[in-house]
Amino acid sequence: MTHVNMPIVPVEDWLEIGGVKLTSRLFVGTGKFPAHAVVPSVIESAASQVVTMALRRVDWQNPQENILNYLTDGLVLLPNTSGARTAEEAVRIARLARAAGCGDWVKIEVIRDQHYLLPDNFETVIATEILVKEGFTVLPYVSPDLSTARRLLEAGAAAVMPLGAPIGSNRGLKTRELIKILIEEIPLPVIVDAGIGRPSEAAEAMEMGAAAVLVNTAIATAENPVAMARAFRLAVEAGRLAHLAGPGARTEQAQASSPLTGFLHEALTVD
Amino acid sequence: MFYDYLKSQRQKLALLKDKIYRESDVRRALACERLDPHDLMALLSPSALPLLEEMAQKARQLTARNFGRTISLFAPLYLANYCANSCLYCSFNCRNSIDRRKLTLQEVELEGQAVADTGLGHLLLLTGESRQHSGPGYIQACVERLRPYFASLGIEVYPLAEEEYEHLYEGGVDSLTLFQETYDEKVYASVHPAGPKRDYRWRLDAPERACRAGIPGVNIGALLGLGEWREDAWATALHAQYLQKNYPDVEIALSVPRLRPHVGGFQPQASPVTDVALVQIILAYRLYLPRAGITLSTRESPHLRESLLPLGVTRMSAGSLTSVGGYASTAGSTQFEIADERSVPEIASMLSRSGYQPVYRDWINLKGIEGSVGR
Amino acid sequence: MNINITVNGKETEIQDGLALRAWLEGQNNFKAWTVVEYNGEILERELWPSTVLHEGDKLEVLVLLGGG
Repeated sequence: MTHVNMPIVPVEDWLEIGGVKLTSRLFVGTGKFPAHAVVPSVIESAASQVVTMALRRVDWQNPQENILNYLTDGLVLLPNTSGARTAEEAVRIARLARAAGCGDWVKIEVIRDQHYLLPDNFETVIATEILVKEGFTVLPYVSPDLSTARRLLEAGAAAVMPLGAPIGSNRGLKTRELIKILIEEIPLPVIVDAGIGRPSEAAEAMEMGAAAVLVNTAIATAENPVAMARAFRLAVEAGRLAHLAGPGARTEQAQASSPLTGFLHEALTVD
Repeated sequence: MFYDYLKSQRQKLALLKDKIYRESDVRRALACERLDPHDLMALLSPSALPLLEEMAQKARQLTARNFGRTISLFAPLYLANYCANSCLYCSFNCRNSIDRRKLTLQEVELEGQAVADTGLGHLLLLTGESRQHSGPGYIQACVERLRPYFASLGIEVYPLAEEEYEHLYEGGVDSLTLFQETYDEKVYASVHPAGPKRDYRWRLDAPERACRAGIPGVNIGALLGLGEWREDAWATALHAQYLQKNYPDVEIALSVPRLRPHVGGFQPQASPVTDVALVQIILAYRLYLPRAGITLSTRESPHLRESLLPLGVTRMSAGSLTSVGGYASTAGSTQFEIADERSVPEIASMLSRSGYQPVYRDWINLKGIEGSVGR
Repeated sequence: MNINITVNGKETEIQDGLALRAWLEGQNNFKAWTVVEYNGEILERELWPSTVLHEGDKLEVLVLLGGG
């Protein structure tokens, strides 16, 4: 009785953001790796198409190298605005990143709280409004809040990136219920960013219906980052497939009597 | 607009036109937290019949979780029955020779006082479709007269323009009730042979215009039994969900009116809506839209109304008259026959006995009240 | 003769009459620098050789690094 001929993978399962059709739903961050040199094999192993990076003031004392030199052509570059404490600073960093050759995509990250590193949603909305008008493809990093997400949608954001747990905490989907609400209510890709510590958590986010996940710390700080990148890739694919396959019905205990609908049978005998 | 959305959803469904919804589809829908239009179709399908009790159990839980054990009460007040339409199923049809009447503003106030004396704080104002006899200005004037007596005023009148809804909202109207009657355009055309109501889309988009105008509550519905009820219930629930999604600040509710006997004796082509079907519709609405209000009118019998209570109903009319006037004065012709003639206290004690708190006034709308702190 | 400019928020003494590019070439990590903000405005790379630094100029010299 099951659908024998159903394709295992739907023919087309693109994630479209800012006019770009992505097949990979695992975005990777390039921070916190022991060396830039590891990054290319990580990206390859993760099969990622979107990669994040940060803009920093140059360090005159220590050797530094442009991360772009390690990235192959064809990747979508997603610079973040880390370091920004206000919308104005985020806008400034986004413009600089574009001038630095990163293209039009930007992950807005405005953080005023240095203890938990939680984003300032209010400033993020303002920065989004400005940057969308300047032609950027804006992916704002936010605390998962429905009203904020609605304002971002109105402002023209290309996706919403709620945090699963504070940055770098590897604590998993602590904000699960709030992210679920965003997935249900916001007609934009919801990309879970920050907090995902294990592949199983990435799979869970994808099963819930997240459009993608962004992973950095969990891969960068693994004993073997390249192997961990592959594990995340498999987990994201598994979770996505599970989401598309639809959940199965739980078997509920049979109802011996019909306390709520019994009156219908009474009515039938009366007729 | 919803018209295009409905069209696209129907096309999606048509892709699976050979799809027969099986019991396993219904079980799947019962297991899901968030249902899609296919799940909704499964819940409305004949395969759901053996699972009605399971659906009812879940519906009761969802209702209790979202609304508690309370039922909000309201009374309708018919202001006028002049009508330019000839809906085959309605007593107010302009071709029917019934007493035509319109309450004067003084009568409106007296009728309102009589309803307010029962303790009810929610009033629903109704008119036939006649811009000549009961235009927006007249409705506005009635609202002004009644404003001091009621916590909440709703309107159930012909479709208005967005600006007209805005005026009424500023004047103190906080909810709109408007039934599409049927979402089937062909049936719609056949049962509305003449009059302004022939314009299907103007009516279809009216709830959305009210949402845009800022009216905080919108109650939609199909007159069940006019078209094929499964199709109409499906479209109604999609309509409600569309409004919820696009106007998250508006409270969306659904009504489940069934065709009732009335002057003119119209017999519809579609299959009749049995009690079982009505139950299935209410349950499907609740499972598909856990947070939507569900309104049950006095069209249904006391016994049935009590049995339907735990299945998802959140709002009921009480002590209702469907004639123009009658609460304070002699009644005229009725729009349809009511089946539950119990008074407000009788309904209230029935609710208490069944374990529900009757709610006479849910909130206080500050719009349109002089000297209020409202903006 | 020397002048004072601000580089990445730090007061720095440099030789007068130097163009931006010439000055940058004398610093570490030259290859890494990807973008320069000159007195609050992004300065196109093509303009680096012809932009002569003056007393009181403010520079932000930035590099793209790994980040999440």
